[in-house]
Amino acid sequence: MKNLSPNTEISTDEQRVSRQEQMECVDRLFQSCAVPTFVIDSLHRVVLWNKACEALTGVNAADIIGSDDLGKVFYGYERQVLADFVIDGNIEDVLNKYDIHAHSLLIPDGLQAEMWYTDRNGTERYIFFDAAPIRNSRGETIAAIETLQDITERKRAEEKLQRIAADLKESNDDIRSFAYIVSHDLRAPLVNLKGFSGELGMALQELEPLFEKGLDTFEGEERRRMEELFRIEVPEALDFIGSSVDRMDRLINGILKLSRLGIQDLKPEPVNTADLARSILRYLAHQLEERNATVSIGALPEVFADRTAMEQIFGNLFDNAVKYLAADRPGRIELDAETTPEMTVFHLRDNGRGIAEADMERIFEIFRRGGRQDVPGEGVGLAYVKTLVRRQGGKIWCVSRPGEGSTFSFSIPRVPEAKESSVSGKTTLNKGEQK
Amino acid sequence: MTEQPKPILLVEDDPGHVLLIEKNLRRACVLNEIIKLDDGGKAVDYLFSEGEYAASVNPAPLLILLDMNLPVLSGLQVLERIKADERTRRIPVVMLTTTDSPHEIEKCYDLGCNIYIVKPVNYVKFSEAIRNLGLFLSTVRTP
Repeated sequence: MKNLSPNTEISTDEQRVSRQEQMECVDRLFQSCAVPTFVIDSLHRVVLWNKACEALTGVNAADIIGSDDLGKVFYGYERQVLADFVIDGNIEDVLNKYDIHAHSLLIPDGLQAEMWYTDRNGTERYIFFDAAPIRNSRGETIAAIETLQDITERKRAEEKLQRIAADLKESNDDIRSFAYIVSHDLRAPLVNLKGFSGELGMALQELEPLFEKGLDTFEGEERRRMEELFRIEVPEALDFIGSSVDRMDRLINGILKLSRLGIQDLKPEPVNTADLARSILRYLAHQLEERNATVSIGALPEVFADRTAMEQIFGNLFDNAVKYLAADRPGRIELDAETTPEMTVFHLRDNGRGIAEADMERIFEIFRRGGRQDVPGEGVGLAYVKTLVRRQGGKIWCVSRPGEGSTFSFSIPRVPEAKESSVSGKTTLNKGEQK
Repeated sequence: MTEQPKPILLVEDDPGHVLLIEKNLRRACVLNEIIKLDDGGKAVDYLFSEGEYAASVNPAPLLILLDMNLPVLSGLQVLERIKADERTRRIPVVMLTTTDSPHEIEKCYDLGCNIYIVKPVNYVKFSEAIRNLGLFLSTVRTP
C-alpha cells in the first residue's frame, strides 16, 4: 500500500499507528469486495490484487504483486490491460483492443470495455472491464484501479436474444415479401379473367343481330331454350365471373396494402391530433348528417408520430364508428385522449350496434368481419389500423357491449421507439465516446 | 408511296395479356405490325441485334410496350438498356404492370419510361388506356 502514497509525511508515532489501522481496514475492505479488483501503480506494477481477482484468474496475489506484465496473466501474451491505458492516458489505443468500449459514465477519465477472452485454462469468458485513475492531491495520476466482471452468462443470453430477434425479423420479412409476391402474381390471371369476360360480353353484343336473324329458323321449345341461353344464362354467368373477379381484386388489394404497410418507412413528426380529427370530420360531414349523428372531441394532445399513419388510423376508426351506428337512435361519437408517462392513449366511443364478445378477436384480422354483414366492406380496415398502430410501437384494443356501443382505444408512445439497432456490439456503450 | 409504318414491340409473357392488348390496339385502329416477345432477354436481343437476332437488322419500333415482370431480364432491366443506348433511347416506352406500387412507378420514371400503365382488372379502363395510346399513335403516324 505504501507505493500509493510515497510522499506522505508521517510525523508522529501516534499518527503512524492510526494510519496503519486505517490501511489495514482499507485492505480488508478491498479484499472482501466481491468484484475482482486490482490496482497498478504509475509504472504499471501490480500493487493490489484482491481475493475475487485470485478466484477469477487463478493467479495468487503473491505471484503477481510487483509484476508489470499483467497482459500475460490475462491473455497469455504481452498486451496492455485497461488500467495501463488509464495510466498512459492514450485512450485512442483502447479503440482497437476491445469489442465495446466507452468512457465511464460515473468516474471522470474512467474507461469501460467489454470483450471475449480466453483465459490461461482455455475457458472463454466475456468480461466487463472498468478502470479509473487514482490521483494524488496535485491531480497527477499515481495509480489505476481496475475491476473485472465476468458477464459471460448475460452476454450469451443477450446473443441468444439477438439471434431470436434476427430470426424473427427474417421470418417477418419473408411474410411481407410473400404477401407482396402473392398479391402481385395473383393479379395477372385476374386481368385475363376480367379481360376475357369483357371480350365475351362484346362478342355477345356483336352476335346479337346475327342471333336475331338466326332465331327465326328455330321454333317452340328449341327457340325458347336458345333465347334463354343467349339472353339469360350466358350473361348471368359472365356477371358472376365479373363480380367475383372484382371482389377478388379488392381482396388482393387488401393484402397488397397491408404488405406495403410493413415495408413503408414511417417518419415520426409532431402531429396536432385535434386538427387532424377535425379534418377527418369535415370529410365525414355528409355521412354524419345522414345518420343523424353528433361528434364531440375532447382535448387532444400533440403526438410525435407518422402523419399519414395517424390520418389513416383516425380515418378508419371514425369511418367504422359511423358505418356501424345503430339505426334506431341518434348516433353519438366521442373522441378523447389521456396521457401516461410513456403513452398517449386515444379513445373513440360510439353508441352504435356494438360487437359481440365472440367476434372481438377476429375484428382485427384481415378479411374477418364481425356481426351482421349488411354494411359493405372487405374486412381490411381494422387489420390495417392494427398494423399501423403496432408499427409505431402502440397497441389497439376494443371494449364493447352489443346493442350499446363500442370503444376503440389505441396507444402511441410519447417518445417514438428507437430504430431497430444493428446487431454488432459497438452500439451499446459507444455514446460515451462522443462527448 | 408512304413509308412502311414502323412496328410496335410488345414484350409480355402472359399470352392472355398479349391477346387482350393486341385486340384493344386493333380496336383503336392501330394497324402497325405488332412484334410479340415473351421475355426480356429476347427484347434486348431483338433491339440490339444480339443472340438469336444477331443476323437480322430489325426496324426500330415506333413504340415499346414492356411488361414489368418478365423472365430472363425484368422489364426494368430492359428499360435500363433501352434508355442507356443511343440507338434506342428515343423510342417511347410504355411500362405495363399489375401493381400500382408508388415505389415501382418512381423507379420506371427515373429510368426514363414515358408512360406507366397499371393493368387494371377493370377492363374498360384498360382498353381506354390502350385505345388512347392507339389514337395518339395514329395521329403521329400521319405525316
